[in-house]
Amino acid sequence: MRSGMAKGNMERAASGETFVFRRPTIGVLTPVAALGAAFIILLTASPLLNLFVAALAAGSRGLSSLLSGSVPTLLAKTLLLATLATLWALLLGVPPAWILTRTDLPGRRLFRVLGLLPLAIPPYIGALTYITLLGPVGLVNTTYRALGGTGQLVNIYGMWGGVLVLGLFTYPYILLLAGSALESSNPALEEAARAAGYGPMGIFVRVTLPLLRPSLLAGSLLVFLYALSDFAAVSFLRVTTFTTEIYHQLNTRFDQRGASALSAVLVLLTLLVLVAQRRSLGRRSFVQRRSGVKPPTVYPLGRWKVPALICTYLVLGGSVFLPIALLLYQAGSAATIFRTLASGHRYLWNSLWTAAVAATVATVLALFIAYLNDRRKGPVALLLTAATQLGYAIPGTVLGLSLILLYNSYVPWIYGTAAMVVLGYLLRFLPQAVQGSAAALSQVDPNLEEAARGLGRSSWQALREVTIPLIRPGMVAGWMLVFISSIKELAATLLLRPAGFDTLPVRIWIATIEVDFAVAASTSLILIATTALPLFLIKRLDSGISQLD
Amino acid sequence: MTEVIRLEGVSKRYGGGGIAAIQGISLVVGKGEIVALLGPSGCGKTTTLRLIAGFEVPDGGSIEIGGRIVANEKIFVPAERRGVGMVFQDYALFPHLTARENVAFGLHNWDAKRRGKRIEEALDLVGLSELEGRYPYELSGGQQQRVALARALAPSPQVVLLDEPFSNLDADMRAQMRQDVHRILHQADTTAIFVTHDQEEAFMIADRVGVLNQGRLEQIDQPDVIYHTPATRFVARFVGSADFIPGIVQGEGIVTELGTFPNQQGLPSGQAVEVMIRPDDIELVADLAGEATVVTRHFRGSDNLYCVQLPSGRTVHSSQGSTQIVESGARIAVKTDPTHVVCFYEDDTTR
Amino acid sequence: MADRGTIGITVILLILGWASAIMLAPTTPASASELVIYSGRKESAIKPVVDLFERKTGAKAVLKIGKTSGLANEILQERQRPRADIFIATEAGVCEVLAREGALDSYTPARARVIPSEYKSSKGFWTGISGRARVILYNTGLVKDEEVPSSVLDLADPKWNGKIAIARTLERTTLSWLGALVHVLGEAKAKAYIDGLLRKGLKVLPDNSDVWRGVGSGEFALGLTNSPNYHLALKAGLPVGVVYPDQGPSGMGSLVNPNAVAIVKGARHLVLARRFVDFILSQEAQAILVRHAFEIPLVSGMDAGEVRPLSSFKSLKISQERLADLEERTIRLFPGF
Repeated sequence: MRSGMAKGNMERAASGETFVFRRPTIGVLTPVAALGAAFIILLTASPLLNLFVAALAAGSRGLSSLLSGSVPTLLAKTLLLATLATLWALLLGVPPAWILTRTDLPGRRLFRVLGLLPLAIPPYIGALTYITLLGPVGLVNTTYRALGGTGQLVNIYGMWGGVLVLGLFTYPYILLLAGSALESSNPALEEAARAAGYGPMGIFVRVTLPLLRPSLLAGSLLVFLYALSDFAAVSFLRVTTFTTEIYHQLNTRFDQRGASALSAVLVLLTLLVLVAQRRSLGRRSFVQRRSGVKPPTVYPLGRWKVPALICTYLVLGGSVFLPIALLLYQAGSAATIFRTLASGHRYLWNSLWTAAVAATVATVLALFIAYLNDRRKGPVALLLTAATQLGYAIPGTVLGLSLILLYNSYVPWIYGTAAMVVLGYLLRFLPQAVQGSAAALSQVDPNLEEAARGLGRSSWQALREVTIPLIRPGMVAGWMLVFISSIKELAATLLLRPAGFDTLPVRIWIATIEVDFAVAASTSLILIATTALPLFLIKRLDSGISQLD
Repeated sequence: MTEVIRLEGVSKRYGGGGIAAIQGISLVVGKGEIVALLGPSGCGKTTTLRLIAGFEVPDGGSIEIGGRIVANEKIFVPAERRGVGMVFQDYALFPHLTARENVAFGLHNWDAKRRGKRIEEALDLVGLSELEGRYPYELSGGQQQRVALARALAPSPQVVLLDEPFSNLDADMRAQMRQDVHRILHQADTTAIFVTHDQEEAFMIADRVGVLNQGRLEQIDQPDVIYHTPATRFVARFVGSADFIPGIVQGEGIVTELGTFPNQQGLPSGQAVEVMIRPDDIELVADLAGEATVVTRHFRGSDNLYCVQLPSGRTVHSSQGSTQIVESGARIAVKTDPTHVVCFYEDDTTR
Repeated sequence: MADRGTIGITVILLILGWASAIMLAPTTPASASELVIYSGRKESAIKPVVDLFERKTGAKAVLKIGKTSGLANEILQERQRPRADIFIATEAGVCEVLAREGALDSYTPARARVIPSEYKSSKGFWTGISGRARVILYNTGLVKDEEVPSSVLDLADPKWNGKIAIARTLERTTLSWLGALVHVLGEAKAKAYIDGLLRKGLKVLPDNSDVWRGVGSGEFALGLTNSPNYHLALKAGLPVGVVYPDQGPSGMGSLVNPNAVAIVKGARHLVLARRFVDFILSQEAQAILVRHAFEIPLVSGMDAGEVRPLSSFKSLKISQERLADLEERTIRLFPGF
């Protein structure tokens, strides 16, 4: 033993240099890290800054167009749409969340997986399917007329249609967040309430609901944000909102200043909501691991089993099965789908590779950002996180516009290439990658890296050999999220794509505008197929994550 | 004895020149020594440890390891190049590696044959050879700690640092682990510094104990010296319990209410001091003519702790064997006969 | 401090990724013989023509479909480094505006001789390809032939309240129609008339397709739209009829919007672009436009087939230059339309 040790000591003395001078740092960052942070901040914040400059340059003309009266109405309409959609999403999301986590509903595990599926269906495709069902020449109306009715029974065009569709295809966010919170809550609290004499209703109102409040608030703000930013679905459904108005301005006016001014207002609005949402969410993620205590109490349903099943089936049906069935109906035949795929394989390829590149770059950047934020806290890290979060606040239309303005003027060699599309995805969805990495990173004991360093690894090696293997599932989940979001993205792509470079959502848009519903439906089905697979993989990864606890 | 660690006037501030976590700490640790840094939470003991390990940069002073300067105003050797092993409070085992792979982690530069042999030695030393294929989540707390220790010892570091190594264990595990760790460290002839807030633990394992208070090293010495001749009131109170009674120096003796004590420190006559009295220094006997009274009695299993009120109204504590019981309110006679007489001036010094 | 190897690898990977993103883009500066066409005209209308062009010349063409004004915006934006070669607009006023900004290249194809002067630029900046007339489409089930209004001004009749549809000014054909009204009636009267219609429930839809489908389904009784949509509706089996309004001796006539083709100044594939302009005016291309897209031929001597030729009705007399002049004012007169 002793001889072995002595040898070890001598080895150490012989190898390695003798002196290491103190490295300069910028705050708590090395120069390399600071440079990287500066680059990312520049990349993410510059489009928005440029937009505000352009909006301010609109000067009195831009302001007068704002004050011409259209803005207050637009504001009212947009806020109304977003609020109602959020309430609808809450109504759709909370009961299933409770039923699926706290009762003994048969098949609830399957339901929870299926509950993710609506996320594979972008709201604009959802809009398409509900137009097929509830539009003026939709199934319901034609059946009604065939049965002798006159006029229309329902007409989905308009505000209520927008609310219906937006809520229906965003409720999974509420379901996920509320479900997580319900799953990881401490049963002791409910038991204490029972000891104090409260029945199930009382417990729900006085204990469960207040505990749920943070996740519900976070989820609602997320849905609200989504509704504010949505463009394609509200376009199809003929609702006038900020985004459609901006698009209109871009396509009828010759200077962008009016559009810039409107965009600036919309961004300010979304920033407000985003700040509120971030505050309420804190460091919570969609996937919350239980703190290792007893699992929460499960209530037997008894005679409520059937109503609960009906409720769950209805929600799932309306958001997954019905739309897909309608799409199949619209596509007409499998032959149409294959034909669309054959003639449009180029578009599929465009969608896939741009989304993949964006996801990869986003994951690498997100690791850097999450690491900086978690291990080297400070003003720079905060600024970095804030800059990357901007992606959530900027609606796709506005982002497209800002990027065009900025890159056409200052970085023209990238402008007009497919790289702009990738850039658009990157900036818009970087926050999702950061969230995935940050959540995973926060679960890793910082002592692990120090332990590795104590055993002779440099910071970099410690990162590679210890931290990354541990957060890999989170990183992969983040990659998938960005991939899925990028594939679905339409508003920014419409503006950013170079000639001849269409993605699947763009083809759906063109087909819908040209009222070629069969092609629109076929392309939609192809799109859903490409997004559904990664979704399932994320869910499986999630179960893999908890293994490492 | 050769020096392994030397700290000279080391200080560290937090919050941009605000709170001083440690100030002017100087200590020397010799080869093969086990030193404990003892103190309440927030006293700076963990900070000192991290400074030695290289995870923090000192604001002042210098640190030497194995005769080589690793930190001063100009130089800073990062943790990965210091050759220091660390055992963390929560063990920090790599969850994605087996016990064997954890232990092997620090041996990445060694050739395969020597590495294999060394891993076996380390696991054998801590008694976990059969469990080498297990992952950390499959091991108990005590087993995890042993793996952490083996991992730290495997690369034959110059010194092993342990941060509150037993605080995560159950009480009965703790006693066992203390003995085991003590044995392992001695068997490996390793220099070690460990940090704890538990005085019993420090005394049991360490060759020398350093007591820290609010960032300052108040005393570093062998355990019995610390116990019997504490340098400051804080040390006196932190290590064991103590009461202080006033007295006046008169020639060869110090006159107090409890009697006259020998002036062992040669203090000048007329000096007002406070004499430290430990509960085990005071004996009491029921005596109806006695001048002191028992105020309260606490049964502690092996002894009774009495709170005694002296004629002057001052209270002192006394520890007596539990076979005898003196009830509260009883009158008693008090006898003291301390082998060490430690006096403190008002300003908390002893000279 | 850092493991240089890993940093290096990451940086290289990022650069490679970026480079491949740019390189894989189908429309890079390097592509030598791809004609870039920005078309405000729908894909279903223009693609057959482009496909035929590709087959005949062996050249490749890439199509960017969008809204005419939006594409015009892009052409203006890209002036420093033009990406488009050809611009196809749904009406010519926008070409006039572009020409004034100096964004177009002048070219007079041989075939332009047989196009009436009001449907081509006097300076050769744009040439009319085919035309579409502004018509009133009606649902034959809801409206009896006698009841159909013969003038757009009759639409103000209260019996049509809430039953008329029109496309937004996003569709340039609507915008130029409004401009024509301003030209004929004067600002005040035109504004009063349109505001009146809006008050009485004129439904403004996103697209002309929504208009003709809406009329065909009975959602609306009348629709103000373009002549090809009548034929499209018939082809879809919908019960529709059409009126070319204001044909009387004192009537203003039906506005004809020419689709225009123009070459972008600084086009990278000038030769190919000129060949395309020649081609789109050729007999074959025109035949496609007339037969498949139901557009009105502007070249004389062309068989119009089902479509009512120019000579068979009275068209509103207005020059595209005039429409371009009126554009800004028209937009401001009808905000949010």
